[in-house]
Amino acid sequence: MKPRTPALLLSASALALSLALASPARATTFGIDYENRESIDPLEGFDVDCGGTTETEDCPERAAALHAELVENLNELAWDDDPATAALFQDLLAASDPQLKELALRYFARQTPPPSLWSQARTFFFGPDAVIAQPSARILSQSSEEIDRTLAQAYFVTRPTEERGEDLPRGSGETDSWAKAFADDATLDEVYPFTESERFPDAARLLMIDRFSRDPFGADPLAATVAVTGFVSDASVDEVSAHFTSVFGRKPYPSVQATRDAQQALTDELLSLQQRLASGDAAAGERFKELTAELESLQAAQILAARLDLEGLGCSEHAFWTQATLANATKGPLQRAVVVGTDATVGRTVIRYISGVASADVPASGGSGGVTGSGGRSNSRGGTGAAGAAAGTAGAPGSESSGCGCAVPRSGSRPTLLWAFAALALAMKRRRSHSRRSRGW
Amino acid sequence: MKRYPISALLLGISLFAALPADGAMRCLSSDNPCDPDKICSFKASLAVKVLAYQAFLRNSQITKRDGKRDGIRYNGTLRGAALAEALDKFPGKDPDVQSAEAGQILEDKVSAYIDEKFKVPKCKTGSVQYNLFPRKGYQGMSTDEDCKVHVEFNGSQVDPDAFEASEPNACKEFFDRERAHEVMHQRRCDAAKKAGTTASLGIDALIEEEIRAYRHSVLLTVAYLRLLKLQCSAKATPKETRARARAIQDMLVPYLGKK
Repeated sequence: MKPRTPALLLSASALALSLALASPARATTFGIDYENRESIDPLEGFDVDCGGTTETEDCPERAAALHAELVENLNELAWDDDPATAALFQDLLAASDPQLKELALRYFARQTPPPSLWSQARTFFFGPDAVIAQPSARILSQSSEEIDRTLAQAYFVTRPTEERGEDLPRGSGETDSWAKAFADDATLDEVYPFTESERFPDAARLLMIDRFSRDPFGADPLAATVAVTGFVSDASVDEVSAHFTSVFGRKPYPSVQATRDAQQALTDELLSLQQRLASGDAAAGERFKELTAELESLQAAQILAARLDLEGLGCSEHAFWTQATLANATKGPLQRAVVVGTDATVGRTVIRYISGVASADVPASGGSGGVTGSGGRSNSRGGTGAAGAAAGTAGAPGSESSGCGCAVPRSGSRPTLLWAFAALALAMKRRRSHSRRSRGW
Repeated sequence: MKRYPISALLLGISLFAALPADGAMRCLSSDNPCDPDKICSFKASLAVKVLAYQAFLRNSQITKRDGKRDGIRYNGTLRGAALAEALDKFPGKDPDVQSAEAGQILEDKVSAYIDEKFKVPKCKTGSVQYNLFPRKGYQGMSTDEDCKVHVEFNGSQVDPDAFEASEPNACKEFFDRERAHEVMHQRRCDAAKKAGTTASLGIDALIEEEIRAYRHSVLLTVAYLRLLKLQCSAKATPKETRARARAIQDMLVPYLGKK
């Protein structure tokens, strides 16, 4: 008895306080008084009243009640393996209602799916509805075909079964994992920084590549809060690239891999310049300056790609556009970006929209901002073809990623930019010491 | 009589073991025997959620564009009335403001629609127990423009924790479900605030957000029912349930398929 009184008093004071602080409502659930209400069997007379061309006024409400009861009954049968029950669920796969479909898919995810289900599961898997795609992925994960299992695994990265597919959410109320999952889906579907006209028109949602990535320079670098929304298109990488080049007003930045390759080429050339620099070759000095500029350009692309966590997203071979510039690459909010390339698993062009802010201080089109706009930089003289292409100014940089798979980052340790600068520093040091000696002569 | 397989029962037991055990009464607690009244109450609650979900779906502009969505035909009566009322009450205001106001009016209209149209579905056994629900005067929960969640009680806004504490006999699951519903509104509201945009939604964006949130409410209520029914597995009659499901399906699916 003792503890209850203070708790109630506390509740009453909290009630009074919150009443005083109330603000206008904006989105609501509804309470209902269940007492003194008519009780009905919604099935009774439904075929006569609602089955024909004319309907009584209450048909939508009776249909809703029937829907609720059907869902309830199906749940009761969720573990029943009688062939008649399986047939019931099989029929529901063709239903227009996603909740009925989801129940049927969940049912088959629990047991051996009938052979006819595989193609249906794949169709739902590639659809836009995450709630339906989840049990479809669970079904595909049981497939004997490796490709199905690979697709399912990719899907589970962002939408794991333990958070979405179990029979009860993890946590409750404010910590309800299903609610979080639904909210995440809403965020991913929204692609809010891009208007309808800015998005590539002929593309469908590809849920399996949706991700939440980390912003290493964000307020909370460890939290995966940046929505990366996936789309797939039958259009070529070049077609899609042309669209986003127009949207961003600039050519794409090279892929992480292309940047690495270019760095390797530059480093090799820097090393080969050492001897010429040491002997006071003026042409080598000029070339040295060009290489320095190219390295800067590559470094910028690398920083921008690192902030977007492109390697973490598994698309180190895809070109990208971002509204960020080198000036704001590591500070301020993450800028919106798009990543385009061919996905090896689905064999088609995939588009990832990275939902950073749509900064107002960056020209929407026509600008040559960023590091790839300075065309002269890649005007290299022999031996730097890769570097020139990676700098995004030679030819059509977007086409570099055509045919490349969206791959896991390579584990091999290619020389990094740091190594390139070390080589550069070494070369400069040698050159300086040589000059001093020359003057002494 | 066909019984559930042992794996289903084990799953049920493990799920109950996972349920948090806190102060307020949990209607899904493990020591509860099979309770037809409780099942009937949750069944009624599910019917309300489906009705709300479909009401928003019916008024969605996506449903209008596609003619039908998830089997539901477009009928924008409530949306139209809400818009007309907003234009009448806020003439000359910015269209975005009018749209946001229309959204608020629509919420009231959907609430009134449910109150008017909802009929309690009959239960095979048991009856709705009113004391399992929050007390009279409870009008639901809401998320305000500061992304704060309130209980709507007798026309006032109350702190959800305080209200829940004052309702020791109501099923905590109902509060949990409403709180989870509001989490979805809250998350979007927080994101909008963080991005420096307005937290107010226009009527059509609000409809879409409610569709998603009510879909969650339906799913969660279904999950609750599933667990409650597991405890009645010894009395289960799958043949009867299947026959009823088939009968509903045979009438509902053609109805939903109509143009």
